[in-house]
Amino acid sequence: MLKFLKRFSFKGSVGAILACILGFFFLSSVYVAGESPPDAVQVGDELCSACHDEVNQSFQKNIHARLAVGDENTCEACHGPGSKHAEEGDPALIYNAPKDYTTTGKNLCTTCHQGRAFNSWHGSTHFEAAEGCSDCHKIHSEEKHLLAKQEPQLCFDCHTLKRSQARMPSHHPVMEGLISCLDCHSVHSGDVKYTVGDESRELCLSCHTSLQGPFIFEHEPVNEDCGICHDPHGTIADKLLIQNEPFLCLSCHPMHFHVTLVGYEGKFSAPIHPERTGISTRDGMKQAMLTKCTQCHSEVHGSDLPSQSISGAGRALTR
Amino acid sequence: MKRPFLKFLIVATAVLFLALFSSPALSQEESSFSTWSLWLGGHYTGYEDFYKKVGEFNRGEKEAMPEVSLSYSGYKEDQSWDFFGHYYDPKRISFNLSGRSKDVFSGKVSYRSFYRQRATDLLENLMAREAVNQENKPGGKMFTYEHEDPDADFGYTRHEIKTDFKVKIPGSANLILKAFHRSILEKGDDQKVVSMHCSSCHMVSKSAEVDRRTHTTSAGAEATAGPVLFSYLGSYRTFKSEAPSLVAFYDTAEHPVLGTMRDEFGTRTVFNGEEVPFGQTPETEKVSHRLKVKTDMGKKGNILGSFTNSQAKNKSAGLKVQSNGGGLKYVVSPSRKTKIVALASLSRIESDETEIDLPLWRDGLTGGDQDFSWTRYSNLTRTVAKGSAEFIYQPSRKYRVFISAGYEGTERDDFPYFEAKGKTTKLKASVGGKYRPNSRFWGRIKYSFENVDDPFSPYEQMFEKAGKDVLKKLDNNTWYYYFQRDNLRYGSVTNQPSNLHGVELNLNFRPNHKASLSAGLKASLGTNNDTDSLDFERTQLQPQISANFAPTPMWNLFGSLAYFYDKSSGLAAVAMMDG
Repeated sequence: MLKFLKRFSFKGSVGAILACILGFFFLSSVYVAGESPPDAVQVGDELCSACHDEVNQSFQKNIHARLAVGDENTCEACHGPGSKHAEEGDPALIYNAPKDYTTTGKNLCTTCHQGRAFNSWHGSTHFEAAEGCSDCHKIHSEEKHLLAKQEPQLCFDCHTLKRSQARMPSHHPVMEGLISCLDCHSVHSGDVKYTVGDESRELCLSCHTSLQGPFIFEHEPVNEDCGICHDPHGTIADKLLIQNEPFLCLSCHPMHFHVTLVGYEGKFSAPIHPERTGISTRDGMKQAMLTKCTQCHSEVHGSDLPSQSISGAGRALTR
Repeated sequence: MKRPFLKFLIVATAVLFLALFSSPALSQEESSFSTWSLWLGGHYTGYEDFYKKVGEFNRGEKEAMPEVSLSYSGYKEDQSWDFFGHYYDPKRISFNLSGRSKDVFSGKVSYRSFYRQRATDLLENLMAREAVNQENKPGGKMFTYEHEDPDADFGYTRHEIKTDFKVKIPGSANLILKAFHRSILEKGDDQKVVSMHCSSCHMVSKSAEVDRRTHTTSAGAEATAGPVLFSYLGSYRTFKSEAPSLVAFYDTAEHPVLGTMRDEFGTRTVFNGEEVPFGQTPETEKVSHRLKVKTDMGKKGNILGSFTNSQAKNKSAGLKVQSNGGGLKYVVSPSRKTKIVALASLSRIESDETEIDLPLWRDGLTGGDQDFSWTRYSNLTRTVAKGSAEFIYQPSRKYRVFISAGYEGTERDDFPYFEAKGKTTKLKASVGGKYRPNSRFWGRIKYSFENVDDPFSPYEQMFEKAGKDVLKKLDNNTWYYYFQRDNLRYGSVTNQPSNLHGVELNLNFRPNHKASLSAGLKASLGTNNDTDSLDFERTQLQPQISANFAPTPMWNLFGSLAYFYDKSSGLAAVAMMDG
């Protein structure tokens, strides 16, 4: 009976989800990019605001309104002559630029919005993922950058994994509002910001400049890619490490042999440094050598100073 | 904040104001608009005992702290300006001022600061002594530690100032000049730990001043000539730490129990029994140039080409890295329903090699005088070639399918590792589709695969062969030493996958502009069965669902539920020391 109920509830759930999805399709409206008929004439902003008052109120504080100030046909500067649309109320009888998606990426928005930030827009990941500008922008909005939603929530709507990571114990302060997604990402070009593409790590180094080097004593993965050890969007381990120490280090390096030593149990003091005292346990050597490698190898990103051991060729990055 | 930074901020802000308000159009009585808002509030953290531990960036406050923010926005004729400023606490302040005039001049000045609390390592795990036998007899290998400043509360404030100016040259509708400046100052203190293991492994924690300064200045121009757009950007970046140099006394190398054998242990170290600097950050600079050319091919598409050149220097050590690279992006729509995006790039990076001169090992002792001096080649010296092509087919507005393939080859000149010769080749492929019946619903699914031939591995291998019957003693020597075991290491190892599968699924429903629902799943599986000693596997799984409701511009209600599963597995090896 229980099995039957479980199966029933499973089927019921699937059915309900399918019904909802189908319902969305039927209830939802279709795209309307629209177009002004050739015989339409301009009617002026006042008539537009008679029906679109809410839009008009918001639009008055909008950068587009500012650029077109003094023009009585602000709305029709982008939407085209609106007389036919005003007469019949049909959205297909007026041009709606943000919903005008073409495979070439060209619409009325790109007439003005071109240049360096938009050089790579056509064919970029965001261009292909979105359809038209209105996925992210509300063109009549008074919000910063005319965003449809406050950043970073707007970005997280699609980049769902990043939303989870931003709340992990170690993260860049995006959720705190201290830095933004746009500090690193150039959303219209598909590029990363500040990057002069000589190395994959350049973006990170534009802020973490102290790690730029080149150093005399290098840690090779630091040259290779910061992502070998760090995930910039958020991690459970400290310092944005993809794994906690020592496990991350041990995925490339063997442990010191000292790990295998049995510890003395009891109080002790260093014979030739009697002021150095403490309590040791049987697992003490393991605790010391298998907790955090960077306690000793503190200059893990590189150093110009040799470490102490000659036979280690000075490469231990302890100084 | 240091005075030079403050001066720069004041000057940049003044320049922007002057540029905006000196415009003659402002004196005319034309249509104008302005709005402002003032917000007053406060915050308090109820963690009485652990107020410092609230978070890395959100520091708790024992007492209620007032907050204030001010925004102003306005325009007059074709000048406009915006200001937003927020005071959270003395260490978290931000403001942003931007303006434009006649579509000829635009500028932004922004400042933000925040405090980053640094963790304090108590080092308590570093207290142990070896037992030489089962009778719990204390041995010679031991760990001890001390904190020079145990009550220190480490952290630093990060200040960032950015200015960005653009001028369209009057009379030349197609020429735009750009200038950008960014300064970052990090000021506070941090924990530095120094190890001296010559007589007992002793760790000392010191408080170190943080005073790091980064300045970036960029200038460029953008010009359009017919269908061709040229842009150039040159950047100069400097970094310098003004914090005083750290020094530590390193113990005299001697037997940890007997206090003898100073010649033996001392001649195995570069330094001992002296005060030497540590934890230094070199002064660096970087110069870069980027040139981009874009040609519009009408409705068919466009071609974008770029060339970059850069040189980074470590001025303290006299080392440099040079880089040259070029790329092409070709986007073409053969028909209204199809599109091809092709990318290709080639770059060459050359990092200086340097000679490491070391004292002779066991200098003057019997069986010694080995020279461990070496040439440090850099694995950054490399040639990277990339190419990819994506084909998109969109039979109607509702449906889209895409398929792509890519290649990435990295050849490192001076970093051969176990049987791989320093070359990594990646082959990538992805296929997916999108269904968007209307502007309110869309769904997308994508599968991607990446095959990596010899992913990056460290130079030294992980496992050791039994050395008992293999090791050869050094001339005139009766002992075996740790470094001799390095030659016994075998087994390539990496935490990078050789095969990576990924799946992404997204469903979004937006019934109107006030509400939206989304659900998604992202999964990846990375495996590496190619190494001769270590099978690596990493699995990530992340389903999520979220809802957003914004009934008015003032209210935004948001909820999400996400589950993240991340598991990686591999082996770790312990050096055996059976030599």
